[in-house]
Amino acid sequence: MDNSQADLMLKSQSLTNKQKQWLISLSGYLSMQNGYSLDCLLHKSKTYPLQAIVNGNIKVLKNGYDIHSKADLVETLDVFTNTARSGQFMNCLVQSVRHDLYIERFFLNQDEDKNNNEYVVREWAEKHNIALSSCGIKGFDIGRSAFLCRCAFTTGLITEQEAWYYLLVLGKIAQQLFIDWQEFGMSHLVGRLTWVGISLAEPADTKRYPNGFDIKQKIQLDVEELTSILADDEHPWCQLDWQIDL
Amino acid sequence: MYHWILLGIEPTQDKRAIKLAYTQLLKQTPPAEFPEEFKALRKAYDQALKEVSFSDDAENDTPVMLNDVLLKEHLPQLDTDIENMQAEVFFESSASSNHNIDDDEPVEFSIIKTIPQLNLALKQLYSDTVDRHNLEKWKMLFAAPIFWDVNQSNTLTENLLGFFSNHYFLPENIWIFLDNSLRITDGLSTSSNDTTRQTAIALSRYIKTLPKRISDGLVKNISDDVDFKAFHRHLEIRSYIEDKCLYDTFTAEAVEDIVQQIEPEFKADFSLYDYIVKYLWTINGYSSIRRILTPLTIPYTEESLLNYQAHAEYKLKNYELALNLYIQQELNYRDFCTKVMFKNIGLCYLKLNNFEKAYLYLDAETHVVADMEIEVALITARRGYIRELRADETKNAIKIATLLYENGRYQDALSITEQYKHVFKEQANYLQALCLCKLHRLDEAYSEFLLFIELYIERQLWLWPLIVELLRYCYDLVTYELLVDTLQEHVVTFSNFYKTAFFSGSIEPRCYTEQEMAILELANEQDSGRRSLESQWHTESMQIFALAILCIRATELVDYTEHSVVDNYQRDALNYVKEIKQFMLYNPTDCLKFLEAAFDQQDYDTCIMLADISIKALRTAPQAYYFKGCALLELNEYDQALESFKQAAYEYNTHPYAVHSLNSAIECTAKLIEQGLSYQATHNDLCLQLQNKKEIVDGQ
Repeated sequence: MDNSQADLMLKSQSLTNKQKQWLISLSGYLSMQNGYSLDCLLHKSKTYPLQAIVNGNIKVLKNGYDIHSKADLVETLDVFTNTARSGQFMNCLVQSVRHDLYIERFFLNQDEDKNNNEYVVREWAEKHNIALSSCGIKGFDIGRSAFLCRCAFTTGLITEQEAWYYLLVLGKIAQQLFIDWQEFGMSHLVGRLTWVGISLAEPADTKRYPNGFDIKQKIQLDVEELTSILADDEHPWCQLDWQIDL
Repeated sequence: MYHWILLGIEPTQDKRAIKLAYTQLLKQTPPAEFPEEFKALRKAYDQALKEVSFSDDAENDTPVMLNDVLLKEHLPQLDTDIENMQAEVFFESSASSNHNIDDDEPVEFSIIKTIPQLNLALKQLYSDTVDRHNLEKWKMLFAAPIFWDVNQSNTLTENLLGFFSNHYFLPENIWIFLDNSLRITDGLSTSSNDTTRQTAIALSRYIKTLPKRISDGLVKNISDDVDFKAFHRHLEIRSYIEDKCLYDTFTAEAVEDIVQQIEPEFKADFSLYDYIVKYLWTINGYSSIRRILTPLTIPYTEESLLNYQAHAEYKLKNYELALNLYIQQELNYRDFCTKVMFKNIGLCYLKLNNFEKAYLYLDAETHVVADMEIEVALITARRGYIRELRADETKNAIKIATLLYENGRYQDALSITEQYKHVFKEQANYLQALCLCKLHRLDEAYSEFLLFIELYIERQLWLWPLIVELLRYCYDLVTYELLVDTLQEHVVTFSNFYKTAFFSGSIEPRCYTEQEMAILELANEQDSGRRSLESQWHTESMQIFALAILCIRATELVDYTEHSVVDNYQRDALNYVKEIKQFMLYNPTDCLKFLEAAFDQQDYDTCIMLADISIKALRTAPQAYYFKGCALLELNEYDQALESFKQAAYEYNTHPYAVHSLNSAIECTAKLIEQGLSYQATHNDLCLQLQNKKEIVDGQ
């Protein structure tokens, strides 16, 4: 299949409704968190009027990602798909699997602050070095990219056609990286938890609360949010075939 | 022929004779003093060896298994320097040697005075695979007279560097000894002699990377009959792989090529395979892992290797095969512990759409925290299993509702409990009440709880777990009658707390049934534990919380005539709360319930702690600000108290407590003014606010 830019551009102009819903669903986790529906490209919510959503999306783009123009958006998408935190995660993952690198890491980081970001990422990578060996936390990057595309369209930074094109590019990458929506969701969640900076290190007072009581509480809300998607028979993630022909 | 003349010997095929001549001449022409002469001598020596090697190769039937060019390419800083050096000063490299060192008498260390003697001793010690690992032997060798000979020290150093550059399969403790004795890292790495320095740097790097190399220096399970040459060759392959992995990029294809060159007798070198497989894993070389491991007979003791073999099959979507491998691994582990591979087995069943088994395996008791793979798989397994169970909804109503509840589908679970109410009542299952709690329909939930309390008493079932759930969600709805007539009657002490979790809405422990145990091939009852929705510590905290709430509700509902009774209840409640501080941290709304008691008992620190938890987590928490202000006021922290009262007044809005808050804020400003601080303007402003607020509140 030809995945050249021109080909994808052409394809993005003739997407079926199912394909469109599949692509929109890449933003499923963040859409759920923000209360946006997945039945159309535009960000819609039962709770807020469109103008409030537009204002909110402008804030997200500007304050969260420093996106003020279409060029900024493209640059951010490029960073997410190529050089984002996933690289750091994958390095940590490799270190945790390979004996030689693990030894080096172990000796180099003996006195490392357990709350620094790299340590946090490393802990999550080590815990998921089998599960996420191929895809890392790219699910988080792709999920955010899809969400930003919808934000950009909702706020008028890009046209609908451009949005479909960018989403199609993301969809193609996602299909190669993940085997199903569940794996995509797992990758997204782990990415999010490293981004938030949830440390897996036990608190100092483990006498009363061992076995990760604290960690379990910290991630509870995130797990519940993912559960609300994956346990819902009606959610697109449970309805649409991951290997849809794009 | 000039090289033979320069070496002072007749043309010969005897490498020993060439090297002996060379080393003797080398003593007379140290490179540092006679660089030109040394170059000429070295050239002659190389030429002579080249002739012999050429002749050797032509005669040698043994094929060279590993491409030497490749080997040279890989060596990290060790390449040309050592290759150039190694042949200079000692006899023969083992890989190409035809000389059998066993022919020589063992050299007595105490008589070693010359380089040739030393080299023979080095060679003998190194060639003995037992002695080679004996540090004492090396120490003895290094105590030989030659090491005291100042005149030979330079040559000796070069000689030793050369030897160890080519004979580096030594354990870490020996290398540390050599490094210290020869001062490779500390001294020679900064030598003014280029060759010495470069060789020393290369060796120093090698020493530093030793911990990163395959952990057991010796190849295990190799027969003693394996000849040294093959063994050495194998170690070279190992070293080559390590160096490529450490310093270079190794493609999966290249790894496979190298692995093919491992001789059959070394197929038991599983530490090497483990190293390779983990490297391949990190470059997603799953197919290569399969191809490399499939022909091997891997013993069950090689757990890591077997696990990765199964993981690779899983990644390659050969779920049936992966499942069989995981099951086999689970059986291998059984002598020590059970359920080790349950997660992986469950994952395979999930991919094979066997949802019941997937759920059963994934739902096993585990101490793993924050494993998102299990979380995601469990949700999906439950969803699939629910679909299957719906085929006979009447029969499976409780199971379906429980699974829906565990999957956070509270509304769906509620529908089932309502539809099959009689089934739930019959089984004394109050899941409906829990669903209503989760949906914040607390009045209805409370009514349900009451019905089941009656039922439990009637059937003489253990009421405490139900009370804990009731007090977890509906404590504000508890009436005087319920408290006094029922709840206080059924309170338990710490020692009678339940330790194991129950299925939601029931007092049935979360354990596998006999039938399920059979499916999972578990025989011991102690293995019957299932995954708890909450940790054991959470379960205990919930019970302590229930005790605390009962104390507080007692002070609220019962009109005690003696203050000491109230004081006792409040103190008990606070002690309980402090016991579960961490639990309270994640339940900010519940903290509000204990603020007044903490203040009344003058436990201001606890009061401020609880208030801060609520303030941090809740969108509005006027009572938290108010009581924090009160506590700070008592602690004479007027400026902080003022801020708390101001915020309390703001959040109370038109509530009468807004007036109290402002009054207290004014009190704070008065104290601050007394201290000579400029709070008059604030004071006046607050007075004005109070006047306005009073009008609004009074007007309501």
